[in-house]
Amino acid sequence: MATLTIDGHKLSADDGRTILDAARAAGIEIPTLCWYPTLPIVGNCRICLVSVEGQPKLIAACATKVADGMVVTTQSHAAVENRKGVLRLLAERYPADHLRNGSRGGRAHPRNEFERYLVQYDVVPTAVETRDLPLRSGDERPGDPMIRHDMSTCILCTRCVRACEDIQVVGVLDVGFRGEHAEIIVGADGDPDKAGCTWCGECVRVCPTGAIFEVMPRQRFAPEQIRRRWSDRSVRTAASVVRWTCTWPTTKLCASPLPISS
Amino acid sequence: MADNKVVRVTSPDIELNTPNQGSTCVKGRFGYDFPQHRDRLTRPLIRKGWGKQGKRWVWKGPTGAERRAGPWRTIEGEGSRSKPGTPPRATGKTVRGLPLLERLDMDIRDRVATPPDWYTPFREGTWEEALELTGQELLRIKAARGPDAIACFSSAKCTNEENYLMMRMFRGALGTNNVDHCTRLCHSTSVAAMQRAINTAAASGSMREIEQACDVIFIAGANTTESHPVFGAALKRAHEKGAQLIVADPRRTELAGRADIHLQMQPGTDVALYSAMLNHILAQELESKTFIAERTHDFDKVRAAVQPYTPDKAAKITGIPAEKIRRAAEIYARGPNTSTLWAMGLTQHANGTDIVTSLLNLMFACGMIGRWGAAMLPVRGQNNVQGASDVGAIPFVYTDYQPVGDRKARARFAATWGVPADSLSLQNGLMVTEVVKPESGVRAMYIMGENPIISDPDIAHAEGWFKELEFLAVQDLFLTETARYADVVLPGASFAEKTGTFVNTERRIQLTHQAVDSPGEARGDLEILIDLTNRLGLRTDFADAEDVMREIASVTPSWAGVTYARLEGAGLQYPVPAPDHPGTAFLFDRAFPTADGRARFVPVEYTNPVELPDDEYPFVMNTGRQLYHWHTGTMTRRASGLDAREPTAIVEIHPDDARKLGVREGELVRLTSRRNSMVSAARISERVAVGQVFVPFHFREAAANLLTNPVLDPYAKMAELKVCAVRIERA
Repeated sequence: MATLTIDGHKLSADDGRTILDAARAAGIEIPTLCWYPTLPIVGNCRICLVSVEGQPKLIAACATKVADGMVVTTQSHAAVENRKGVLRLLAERYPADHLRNGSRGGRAHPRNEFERYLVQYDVVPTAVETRDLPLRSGDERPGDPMIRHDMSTCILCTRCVRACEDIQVVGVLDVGFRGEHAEIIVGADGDPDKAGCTWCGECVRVCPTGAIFEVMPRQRFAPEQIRRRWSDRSVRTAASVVRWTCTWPTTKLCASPLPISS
Repeated sequence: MADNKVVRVTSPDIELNTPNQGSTCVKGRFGYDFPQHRDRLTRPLIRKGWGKQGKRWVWKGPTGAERRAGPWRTIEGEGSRSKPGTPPRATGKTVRGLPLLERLDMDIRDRVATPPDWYTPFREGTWEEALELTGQELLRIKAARGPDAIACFSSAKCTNEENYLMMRMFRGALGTNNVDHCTRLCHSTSVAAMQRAINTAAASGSMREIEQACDVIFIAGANTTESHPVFGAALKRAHEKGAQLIVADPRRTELAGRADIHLQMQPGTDVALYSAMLNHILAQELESKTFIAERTHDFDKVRAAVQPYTPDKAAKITGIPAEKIRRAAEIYARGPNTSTLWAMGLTQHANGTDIVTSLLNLMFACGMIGRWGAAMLPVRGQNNVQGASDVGAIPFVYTDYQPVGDRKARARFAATWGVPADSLSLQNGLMVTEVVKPESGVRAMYIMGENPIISDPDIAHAEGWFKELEFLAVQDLFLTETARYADVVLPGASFAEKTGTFVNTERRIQLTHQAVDSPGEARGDLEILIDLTNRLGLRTDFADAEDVMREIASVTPSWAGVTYARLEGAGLQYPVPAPDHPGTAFLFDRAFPTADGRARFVPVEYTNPVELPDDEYPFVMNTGRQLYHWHTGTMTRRASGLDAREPTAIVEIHPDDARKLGVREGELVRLTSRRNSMVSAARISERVAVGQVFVPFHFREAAANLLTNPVLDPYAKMAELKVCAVRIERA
């Protein structure tokens, strides 16, 4: 049992827990992108960095175990500036023109976990046409009946890779190529079937940007139904939660050039 | 949901600590569009020919063979018809450039949907008409031929509340115990073996303990990664973390491929294998002497029975090298915590009870039960097959496995239901496999959410039997292969359209809430059963499912503490004997629920499978499930994504056999057994051994059960679904 202070709150946490665990248990929010419950911790997105007294550098809350007497500040100037920097870099290769309204006095409508952080930390993405780097690419599973990718919105958090490898123990997804060319690949040649995919949809569940999304059985939905903004409604059933969705994949589908039959 | 339609399915957040841990299987995540399929029945259907004369319904249509005729092919005719081979798999790069979804939409309409002319023998009726006719005919046949001329198949897909009402209606209002469901073709042999040994019939442990505390996992006859993908992933994670994995399976399944030891035996030779493992364990003195002495009796009989089964002798019978058997036995016995899992591969045999018994003997001799990490898990195949049995939808027990022959139990239920005690039968009812036989004497049937014309063994005969019935009512989502012979088809509700509870494989009672409304005039199954029970003369005034659960809890000691409020969240693992009891994660830590608290060893002998391959029928056919489909495909084949992955019937053949037969991938082959013959497309696969073929049973156009052997297990009346001899030719 360690006793520590986070943002002025005195907390105690079991040894072996991380700063992030302790903070979330106390209701203190630290943003995360690459971290996900039950996935192995890789600490690669650097958005959860916090200040700890006596440490010369910021440290990753998701990957650092609590220690007795630790004094943590989650919203220190350095931590917040770092977060903005990380988000700015990620947004530099992300199609976020729709969020630029915020800077012109309009309201930005974040569509997923990642965009919510952009809005929360007041990061205004540069216009896509003024950028030097192209949007990301990757294997896209064209024609797949259940799961498709739109890798231009991938931020390489590798949650999907780890979910596939460590939760489902299948290992279809991986990161291919290096540096700015790094991208998510499906098997060795882009064919999920050959790579042993079981279409479990774990990658869809963990993706924070909707780059990996499920194909809606479109023949059931008229276009106007898809475009509607639904009120939030979710119902618990025995083995699953059935809930509405109007995140990126849906809107993307209605923008799809394929006709939607009813 | 959107506009009363399900548009996405996810699993509860991990923080809720549900057994799924946020994962779902492909059928759960992508199979949700079947409730919205255009085939859904929205109004009751009544066979043309039924008309009203005064106040009574009378049959005015043709009689004899024409009585239940319709413009369709029988399953037999459908099976031997030529059909298109397998198209290339609809995925990823292989079909780049094709507007695939467009093509799929068309395919689904043409191929999977109920053919339009199946509806022609029916007219749409009102609920009043349909229920009046059903009630009248059930009462008439009860009066004319006695209550035991009526039988029902309840449903492991429906909720506990619905199954309870079904058995209450048949027992309380009609006075017969002819209530059964598909557990008969599932784990009935496990139930028989476990009842004999430890007088109970549920898993001893929990699924999560496999990942948390298990050192050795022994999986027998279960293709867990395909049939139970979420649990399968947990097994793989446990293996990655260092647990040893032993798989006994005639097929090289995914788990068998990654196992430390794969015991690839000839189908049906399990008893010899487990006896030989026990033989070796005794020879090495690795058995748990304290467990045997303190917790069991009759061990000496088993010691004598396994004496002849040396690993070398078993090697000859099973085809597994003796060295492998020895190594597996040592790993199993050394543990220290070994969990044992099994499923249909063991149970669906004519000696299934003996097979499970020999596995239980192995388990007890090593003391691998009743500890956290040493679990006994018969893996259940349907969302609620455990619950349907628990609430008494089987022919010989009320809820909580209270025997129907017990006068005290009968008095309790009679008092609860408000009927005289002697109106409840003390006779065990007929089981699924006994009902569908000319000598059963059953003349009227009520079927809720089952499709026996695809799932029963030797269905060509079963189909003939259903045609001969005096009255058949079917309550289902679609006009299934069985429903097309019905007099009345009552449109029920899908999982998303009802509130109720299910019990999963680890005895966890889970609550489900209604998410959308049923289409058209389709009604909740609970509502239909309440209405019909009232018409049959048994007063029933439950307001909702929660009301029914209150009554179930009042007559089921191990569910006494169950209320809907407590089930919110992750649910409860029964026994929950009191309102403040937290549920039970594992059983038998101190005693078994037998009279003296000890488990009983039952000696068993190996017998050959009923049909062995010979010159005329040289292949052994094995049946089972695929990842993307579930059972007779009524639901999953109407889910667009799933159907796109496995659109056609296939038969898996080993490459060596295929070469000898001159068959290439996707080509049609004709399979012939001693009973029937059918045409299906070949899939060349090394997952089956040489000399074996595997046929999934989901497809009406090539139904595996045309070929299977209807010989029954003497204790549990399970059919030999897993082994039969077949011949293969190019078609």
